[in-house]
Amino acid sequence: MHQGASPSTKRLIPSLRLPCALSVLVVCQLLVALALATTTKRTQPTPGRMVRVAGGTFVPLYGTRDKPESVRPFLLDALPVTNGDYLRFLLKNQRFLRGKLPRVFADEDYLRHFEQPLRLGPNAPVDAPLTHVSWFAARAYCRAEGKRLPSMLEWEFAARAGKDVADATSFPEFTQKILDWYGKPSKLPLPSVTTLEANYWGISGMHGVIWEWVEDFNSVLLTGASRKDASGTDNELFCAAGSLGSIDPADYATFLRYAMRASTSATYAGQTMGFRCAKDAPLPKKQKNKT
Amino acid sequence: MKTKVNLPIRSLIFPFVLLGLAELGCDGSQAEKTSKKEAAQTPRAGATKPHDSTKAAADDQGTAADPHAHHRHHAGLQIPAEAPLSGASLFHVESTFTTQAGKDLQLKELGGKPSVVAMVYTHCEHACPMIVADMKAIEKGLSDEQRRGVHFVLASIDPERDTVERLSAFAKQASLDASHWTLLRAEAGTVRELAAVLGVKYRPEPPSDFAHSNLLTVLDADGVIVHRQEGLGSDPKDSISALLKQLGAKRERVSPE
Repeated sequence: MHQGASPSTKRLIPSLRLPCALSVLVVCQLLVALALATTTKRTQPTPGRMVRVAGGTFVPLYGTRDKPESVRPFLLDALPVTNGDYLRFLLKNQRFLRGKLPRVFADEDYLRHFEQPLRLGPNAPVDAPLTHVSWFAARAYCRAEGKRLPSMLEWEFAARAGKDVADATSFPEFTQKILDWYGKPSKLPLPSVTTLEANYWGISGMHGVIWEWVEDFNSVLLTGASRKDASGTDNELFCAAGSLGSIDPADYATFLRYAMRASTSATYAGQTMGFRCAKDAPLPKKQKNKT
Repeated sequence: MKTKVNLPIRSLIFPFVLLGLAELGCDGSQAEKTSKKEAAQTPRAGATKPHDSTKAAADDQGTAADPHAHHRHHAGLQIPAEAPLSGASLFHVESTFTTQAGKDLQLKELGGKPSVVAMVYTHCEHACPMIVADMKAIEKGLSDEQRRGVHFVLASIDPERDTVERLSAFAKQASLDASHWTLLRAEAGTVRELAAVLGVKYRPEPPSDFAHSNLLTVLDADGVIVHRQEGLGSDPKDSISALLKQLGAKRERVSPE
């Protein structure tokens, strides 16, 4: 069984110099484990794995009323970006380390749950969704992966899917579940992404654990700055806000997400903010795309 | 093959999991996810981190504790590129814009003078002409000499239609003096980024309009936001005094020739 590790184990017992021997053991085992792991790569959950979301049309909450918006097919990460994923990014992009990233790109909560700038620690399990990340940092991560943040429209479209259907927003139990989560904060530390339920598209954890950044989060105008805006956008929003009691609970859950985006700054790195990346889908030429 | 090797991996990794937990203080299953090089680096980087983090923390405190730290390079006649920039400076944005003259521009090139910045689109019929009028009201509140010491910047939220030619024509039509007015366009992602650092919100309103915040932002000579003027038709006096304060501060710093 332990062929790969036995030489170092033998050395370990007589020497009794634990710290030194342990690190030798670690390195040996790691080398062997990884050599073997590469041969079985396909059986492991792949970080950054993307699934295709066939486009479609839907009427977003704050779109032009009664006019469905169309969403082109796109690829979306099956899992939220994890602490471990982000640590790998930090190793190659050290200007994004906590303490080094300029304030203009992230507030003081940025990666607050990491034990050290380059060490996860107990509050940041390697497989748990990354939180405490600003919009700028999320965007830079996706860019480094050759991806981008999903647009709000794309995210909302994918988030309508239930376990077995592409659009579950008419099922009361689906929306109730989301609202229940909004009503109570997630337990920390967050669970492993592998435990999150996948929806119809094969996308896990869109609801129930974290809020997620979208590219155009700052496209929701809700208050203040545009009070005197000639476009009359605010009236539309206030109408929606005022009629919450009478509208569909599905819209209420969506409303909360929009309200959160409207009140969020791009530097916000709170403990509920995470993200996943997206990509344009390859043009459909009757070839089955392999991601 | 796959099932054969799976079991040894688990048993090989298990001790590492324990050691990982003990030594690294992080979940050992990382070994499965990170490459061997990176995983090997992690404890080392973690070990050397106290040095790095104290340095970073010191840098951070330096800018936070000393509000004048980011002004020094002007007095010292150093080239700003090498001088430490305040963490709050918009000049950290490295994306490239194009001016109405067709020249590439990075925000840091606006350094050395305070700026007034707004985001608009030139096909706008209502709010944007008013934003430009509000900026002109600020311009009018300054003397000729003061005006030359300020950048007036309009960045387009409509890069598809606001071409260089269009921006140039708009500047002429609105009589914007090219010596201190800069009109910018950039690809859509860069526009989003600029809006994000300024706190401007916008979205397309089909078929051809945008809903957007009506916001004027005053930046100091180092790209740090020092004042915001919200809404349309506001009294320009606060923005003017914010600019005068910056111009005064600059004069104090630069020794007379």
